[in-house]
Amino acid sequence: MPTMTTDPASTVAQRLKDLPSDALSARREEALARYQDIQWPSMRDEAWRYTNTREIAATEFSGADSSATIDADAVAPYVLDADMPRIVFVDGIFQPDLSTATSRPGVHIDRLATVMADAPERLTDHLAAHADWSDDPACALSTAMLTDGVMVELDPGTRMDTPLHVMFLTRGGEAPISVHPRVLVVAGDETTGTVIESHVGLGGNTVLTTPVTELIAGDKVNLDHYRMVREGSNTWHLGDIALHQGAHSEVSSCLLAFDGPMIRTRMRATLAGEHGNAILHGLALGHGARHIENLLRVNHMVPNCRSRESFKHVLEDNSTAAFTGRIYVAEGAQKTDAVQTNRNLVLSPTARASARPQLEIYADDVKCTHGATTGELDQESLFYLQARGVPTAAARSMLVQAFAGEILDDVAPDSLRGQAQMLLRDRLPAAEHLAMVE
Amino acid sequence: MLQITNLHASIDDTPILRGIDLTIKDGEVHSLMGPNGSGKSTLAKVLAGDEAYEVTDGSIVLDGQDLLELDPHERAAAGMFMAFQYPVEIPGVTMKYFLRTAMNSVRKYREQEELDAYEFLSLVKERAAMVELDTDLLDRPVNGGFSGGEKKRAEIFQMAMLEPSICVLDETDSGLDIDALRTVADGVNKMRGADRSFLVITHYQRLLTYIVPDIVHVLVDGRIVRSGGKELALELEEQGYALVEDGHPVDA
Ligand SMILES: Nc1ncnc2c1ncn2[C@@H]1O[C@H](COP(=O)(O)OP(=O)(O)O)[C@@H](O)[C@H]1O
Ligand SMILES: [Mg+2]
Repeated sequence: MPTMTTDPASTVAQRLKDLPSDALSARREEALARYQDIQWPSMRDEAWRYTNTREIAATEFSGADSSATIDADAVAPYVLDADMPRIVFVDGIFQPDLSTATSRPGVHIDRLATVMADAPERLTDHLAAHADWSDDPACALSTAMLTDGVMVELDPGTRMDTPLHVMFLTRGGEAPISVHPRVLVVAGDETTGTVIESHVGLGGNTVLTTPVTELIAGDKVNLDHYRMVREGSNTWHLGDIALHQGAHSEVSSCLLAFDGPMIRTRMRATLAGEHGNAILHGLALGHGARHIENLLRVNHMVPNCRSRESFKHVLEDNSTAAFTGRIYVAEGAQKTDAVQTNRNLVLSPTARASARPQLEIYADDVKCTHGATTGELDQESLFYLQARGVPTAAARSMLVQAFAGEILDDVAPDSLRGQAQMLLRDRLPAAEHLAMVE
Repeated sequence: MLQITNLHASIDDTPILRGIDLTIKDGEVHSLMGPNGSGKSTLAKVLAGDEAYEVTDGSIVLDGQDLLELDPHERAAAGMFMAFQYPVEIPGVTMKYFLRTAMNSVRKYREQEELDAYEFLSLVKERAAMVELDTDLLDRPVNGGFSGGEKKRAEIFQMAMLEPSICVLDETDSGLDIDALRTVADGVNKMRGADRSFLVITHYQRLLTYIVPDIVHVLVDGRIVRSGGKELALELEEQGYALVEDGHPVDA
């Protein structure tokens, strides 16, 4: 029997040697050193108490074949709306033929690779500056391997008139691959926009994906971000979403986790200007042995900001979900108004949910509330639906739709909301009994 | 025909229904009266199949079918309808979506064609008009934020949509003002017919001046202690349940 002799971290170092030397080189080197330092922690590590990375640590990942292409037909089912501008990556490789998004005055949509090579000054202050890679191996790895992705830059006073859809598809190969999707949004003062990410796994090859998205909003920005997760059956998805907000900004990020055996997301919002509003939403469906972990942190650095966190998990079979939500209120951040809720709907006796709210408050005039609930379906509601002729399984599914609806109803782009509702319906028992969503 | 024989039911091992015999023939309207806590709602829920209650003895047969063998949704499809005394609010499920799903399931079970969107909406319009229900309510969550009167109208509206053969109305009159009461009663009366029967549960005689019953039963402590014609309701109203409470079961 062959023994594992290759240290995955040194494989990464080898891959790093092949990367271009550019403005990001130093940051990559630093991140690699960090990654080699941290490695994949054991479950004794507080931040990794709920997620077991032993298999990831033992797997040697290579980069994707750089000539990877894909048929338009294979992508079509995941397109939200034919008219919505999109950028498509397959196994981390940009697909020019399938991408339709273009820049227009004031709204710059570019590949990160291009910006790094041609105008690195546009991103050096922002890229890998907000998603904290100092304490997390997935984020450190993403930063070490940072070569491409999407940059959206909005000049002050501009608005994107349609959402941008960034599609990261993975197919993998016989050997395990790792991909490191990256999105950077720099929204100047008084801008408005929406960015949707889809992470789609095509099949069952072994993949590690570490998507990192940084949203940097100036003053009076209105920005919505969505991350739809539909990974393949052997994809580990360990991602980051980091928001940094200026004064009077309203930035939202919504995680929709539908498929994949392990979906771990760190979501962070830093409110750095007064009267900022951060809205963090999440819906995750647990099936089979899926493991879901959401780690949230909201940093209230200045007075008069508001944050709203609402995460919901639906857990069937042997699935598990862990939620950690930290609200940090800096000294002097008076009149902070923070609300955090985590609701778990546990549909099977073998599913497990855990919640850890953490408040760290250094100001005295604040309103911070958190609540976590774990429950089953309401029996009275169930009986009411059944008594009117809805079969038991369909009645249960309707109540799950209702539970998820509180998150899905707030998904603004119609095509994304519609897709999410259909995906939910398809994953519920007795879908054939449910009337089509109108 | 609904035939209830020697029905015993308990909750958490406490017997509530203690031997109920009641036969309602097609086209008949029966009324069930009785003091608070006598078991009226328990009977209604046991008929509809609420699993919170355990049937310990007896039988319920509807048109030759043993209802105790059927799940609640199958009973609904077989023709049972129970209007709840306290309709539950279900946030996140709209009335329309719920009703569409319910109608489709029931029709599938009855081997009828599913209604298409147009047929469904025209039926909704027609039946909502019967009970003067504002159809805007149908875009709201099930009973969500409905007033007491709206909830009761919505129950009778659903009954009209589902076209049951036996309708059990559990205190549909409670909380209604006189106008609403008349509207709801009118709706019920329009649904009366040779192949549909009713069990109208009420605490007060008032409703029975609008929905005139063929037979009135008095339930005390989980047993029917007296049955009679519609004049029994008036008698109870005048003399109170003391008339029957300490008496022994009396046949009509
Ligand atoms: N879920 C329950 N748990 C315990 N006791 C109950 C429950 N439901 C009803 N009961 C009891 O059963 C009896 C009958 O109640 P109910 O059928 O609601 O009476 P009615 O409708 O005639 O007022 C009452 O004594 C009530 O306290
Ligand atoms: Mg009652």
